[in-house]
Amino acid sequence: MALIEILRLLQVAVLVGLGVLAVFHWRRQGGPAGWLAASFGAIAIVVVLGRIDLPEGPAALLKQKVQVTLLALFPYFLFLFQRAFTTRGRLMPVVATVVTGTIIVWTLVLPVPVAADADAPLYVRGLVVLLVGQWVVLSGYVATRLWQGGHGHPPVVRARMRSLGVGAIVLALALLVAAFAPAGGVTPYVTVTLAIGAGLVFYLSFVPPAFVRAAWRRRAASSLWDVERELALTTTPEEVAEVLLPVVRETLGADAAILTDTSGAIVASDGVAPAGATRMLESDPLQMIVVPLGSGSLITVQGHLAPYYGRDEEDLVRAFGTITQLALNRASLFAQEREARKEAESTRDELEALVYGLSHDLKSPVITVLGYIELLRSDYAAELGDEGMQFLDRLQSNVTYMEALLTDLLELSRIGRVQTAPAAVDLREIAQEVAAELSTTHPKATIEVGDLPASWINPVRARQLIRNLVENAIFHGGRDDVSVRVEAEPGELGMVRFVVADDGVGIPAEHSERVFAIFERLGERSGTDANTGIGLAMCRRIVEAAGGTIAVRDGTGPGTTVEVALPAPPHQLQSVGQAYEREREATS
Amino acid sequence: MITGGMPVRRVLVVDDDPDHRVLARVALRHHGDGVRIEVDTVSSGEDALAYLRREEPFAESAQPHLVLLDLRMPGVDGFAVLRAVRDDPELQALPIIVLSSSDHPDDVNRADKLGTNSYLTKQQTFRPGGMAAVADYWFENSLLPEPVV
Repeated sequence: MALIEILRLLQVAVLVGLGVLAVFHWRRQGGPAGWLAASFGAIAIVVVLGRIDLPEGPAALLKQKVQVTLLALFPYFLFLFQRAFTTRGRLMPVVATVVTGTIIVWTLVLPVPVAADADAPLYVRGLVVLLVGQWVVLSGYVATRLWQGGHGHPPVVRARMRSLGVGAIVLALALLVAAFAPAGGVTPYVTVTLAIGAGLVFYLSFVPPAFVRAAWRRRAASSLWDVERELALTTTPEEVAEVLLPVVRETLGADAAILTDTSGAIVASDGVAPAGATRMLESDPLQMIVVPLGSGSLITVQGHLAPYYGRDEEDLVRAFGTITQLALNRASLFAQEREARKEAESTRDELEALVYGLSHDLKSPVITVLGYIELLRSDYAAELGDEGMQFLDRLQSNVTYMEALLTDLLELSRIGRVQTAPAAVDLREIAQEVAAELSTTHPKATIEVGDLPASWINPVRARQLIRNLVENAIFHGGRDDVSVRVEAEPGELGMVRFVVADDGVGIPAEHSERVFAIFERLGERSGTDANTGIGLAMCRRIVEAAGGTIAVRDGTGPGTTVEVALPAPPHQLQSVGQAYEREREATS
Repeated sequence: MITGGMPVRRVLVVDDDPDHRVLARVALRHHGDGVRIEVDTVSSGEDALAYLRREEPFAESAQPHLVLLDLRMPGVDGFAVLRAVRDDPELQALPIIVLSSSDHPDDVNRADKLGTNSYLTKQQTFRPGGMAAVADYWFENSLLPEPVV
């Protein structure tokens, strides 16, 4: 069999197959796909008729008239298909209808067969020119419109529209060649090849094979990586949907991407408003992929513009579904953590308010008791006698202790609520002042202050901290002539470090954490000792509120060493990032 | 008014706590060489203002020479009394000493701004010699203004 025959058979197969495909497509999709079915159906009938050989006569003439009519209708039906999507311009439909109608009428009226060779009458040649003109113009118009109309639609849809347009152009070229190129020679080969090529391009737009769809999706799929990055920042289901759904829709070329919860209620949707989404799902759309998630479903709805779904589309949606589920789990964990933190904070606030209120209320009776004790002491000394006076002493000492406890409790509950604004504070200056104050009340103790750095902390709290630490060292030293050192040590990046060390009795290693608990005292409370045991707990609260750490250093020689790390002032920070963080915290 | 040779100094103690009223009265009793101190007490801010304005049931009250004023009272508190007295043209010049259980700088500043003459804490005052400075200044000093009768 000659090559040309093979090619012609191939052409028939391709174009008839295309016609059948277009009809099936219409049966599945409905709507404008009908026009496509009409166009390709027409072409299919044309090539089938072309295979039927009829002897010269009225039958052959009729056959040719039908062929020409259908040929004229192909671009017209394509035009009508395109009009379903882009309806700009009022003039074109009129022109197209008129021209196509003219061609059809002319053809049907024509007494002789249509041919384009030189000895055909003028009115026949004119018809051919008009037909080719109509084809080229309409095809070009449709192709342009379809090319432009793809804007705003997902990449897969765009590619499909453009394929249709390209196919139409190629087919128009085939017709041009068939009509005006000299018969014989390569002309038939060119025509047939172009027709087959056009058919294949049309196939692409109807049923693109998987690798073609993947290629079309590649640009959209690269956004999957961006999505992962953005997803890391989401903390609520709404944010997750906001990031994911548009990407899902874009990548698949879907009309809508919808997220539902376990009861089927719409959580969020892209491409359609949530109310519309419910209607859309209820109307049982033709093409829908549903991926069940632990906390609901991810659904994509295809429209009539996108190709049929294949396995890889479903796999893709499933992959998106997994990512969505992970992100939703993370969001729910965030929500739980937020709730728990709020509860803890509100409990802590309640407790603090309780402590504050109680301490205030307990002050009055304490003042009363102390006042009456003083009265007894001054006015009833004789009646009480020596023993009575001693009992009064014990009373007074205990109530004084209560008073000190209340004052400290009040102060403790205020830390973190009042006096929190940090500043650059010279620790050495504060330590020297504290040392001077304490030297007057404890003359036998020695307090040395080294070269301490500056720190970023509230000045009032800094003073409280250092005073408590040094006082504690003196009280727990165990002897009057205890020696206390306050000196700096090298700190890590962004922090300053110092120690308060004494040479007193020291703290056994197993108790080094206990001393920071409120009211923990390691020894007996001695007679006049007003030390309430809150001091170190307060130190810990101050240090932690400032963003530092405090601990008792493990058994290094006699005595106790308490090491404190506090934040360094911003301009001393080595890294810009840390400085920025500090500034932000200071001004928030 | 001079009785038996010694001038009388009247003091009004304003405090909602009955024990603190007793302790204030006793603390005052221990002072006043050369003067006789008469102490009257009221238990609320409302009563204090009624007393000073000689409204019922205090219509028979005499204007005090000095007021010892607690801060934390339910209803009309010490700050409100202070403000009302300083705003009243007839009571403006009344010497007022705040006597409070709070030593918080915020309270001291606020009382200062509202025009208190002096600020004492109960912790320091309810002990031997606690009222000494008050007595020395406000009672021995013969320049104490005689209240408008």
